Amino acid sequence: MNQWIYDFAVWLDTHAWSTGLHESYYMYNWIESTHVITLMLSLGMLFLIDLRMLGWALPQVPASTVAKRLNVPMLVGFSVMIITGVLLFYAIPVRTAQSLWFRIKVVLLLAAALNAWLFHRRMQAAPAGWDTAPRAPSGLRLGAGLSLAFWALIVLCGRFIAYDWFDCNAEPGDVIGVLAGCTPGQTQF
Amino acid sequence: MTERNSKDAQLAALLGAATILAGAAIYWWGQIQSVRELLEMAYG
Amino acid sequence: MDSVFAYKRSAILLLLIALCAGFALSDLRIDTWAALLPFFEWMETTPFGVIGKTWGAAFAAVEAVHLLSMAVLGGAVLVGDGRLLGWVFADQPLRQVQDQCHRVFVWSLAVVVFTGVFMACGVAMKIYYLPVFWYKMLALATGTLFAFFIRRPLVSAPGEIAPVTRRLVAVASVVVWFSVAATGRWIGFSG
Repeated sequence: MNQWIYDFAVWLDTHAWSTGLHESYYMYNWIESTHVITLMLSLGMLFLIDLRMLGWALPQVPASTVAKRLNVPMLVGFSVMIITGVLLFYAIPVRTAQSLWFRIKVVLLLAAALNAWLFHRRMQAAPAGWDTAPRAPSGLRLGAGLSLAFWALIVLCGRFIAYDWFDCNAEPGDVIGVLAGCTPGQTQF
Repeated sequence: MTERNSKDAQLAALLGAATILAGAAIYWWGQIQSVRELLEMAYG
Repeated sequence: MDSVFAYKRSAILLLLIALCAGFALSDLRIDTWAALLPFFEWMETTPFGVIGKTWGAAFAAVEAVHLLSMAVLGGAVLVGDGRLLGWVFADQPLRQVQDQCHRVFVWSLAVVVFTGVFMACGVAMKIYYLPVFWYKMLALATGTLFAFFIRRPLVSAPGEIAPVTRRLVAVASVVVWFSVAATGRWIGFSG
């Protein structure tokens, strides 16, 4: 698996566009800035929905109204996050694929997606009239809390990718080496 | 009295918003120009 | 006939804009900047500055909290201004939505500023010489004053707000907070 990921990343790295993106100061920074600033749209909307469920934001607007209306701008935000995120990975494929933090981030993203799906199901199954109370039922509150926690950790991991503490060329040790996907005898980092 | 306060609030809002928009337009236009000049120097 | 005193807020605003323009165009700006050097040197010696400079993981973690609170602030601003434009919650009472967004805005602003001060201490000498940092501070001060002393009184005062005013205020608010975030991001790429 790690060998396959490494080979795939090395293959991406041979693309001229990948190198061009990496070496273009303005293009790379522009994509990076867009990725970070779009947090205000994607996570901004998501957190307002989560905080509404916990009763901490917009308590007088029905919870289902908040979830429904903010859903579209949130999804627009997340689309931009995915596009810019993929481009950032494409610009620096080998190092990112072998970043411990990037790998934790991907697992957390999957967990957050699963949580969002469960949250949605619970919201549809909730008894009528639930959404005018300032606080949502406990199942939805749990989902909202988990969402906040997952995304806080995702942002933290995303920020940590920039640091080289556990990079493969820093020989991070056996356990972290395997988790980060360091490949014996690899020539590219 | 509240009627007058509201008029004042609206005028201040109009002035404040216009100032912000003008300032931001000047700042961002300047930024874009300087990046363009740099790129033109680098790539012709 | 309205007396000048009926337009106190507008008069103070114009005076402030004139003072800012005078400050920016005179030598006072350079003198003030030079006088602030010892303060920025002192910032690096505070516990925040020492932790920020020597403990990379702590700095990065605070930065993550800064980004998370920025996301919440952005959400509150976008929803509040979206309501002014009539794009979201158009069927919900304007003042109610504004009140509740403002509460979220105040809390997130407090966290953003606190984490921002921590980070500034760690890189005080770098940002002191970065024009983009000072533009960010200008945008932040403008955005905060605008939010509390212009936007807030406008949306909480009774009576209809002229559509042009409503739209201009919403767009200016989004623009100023976008500028704060964008110039902030550029601090990381500079120096």
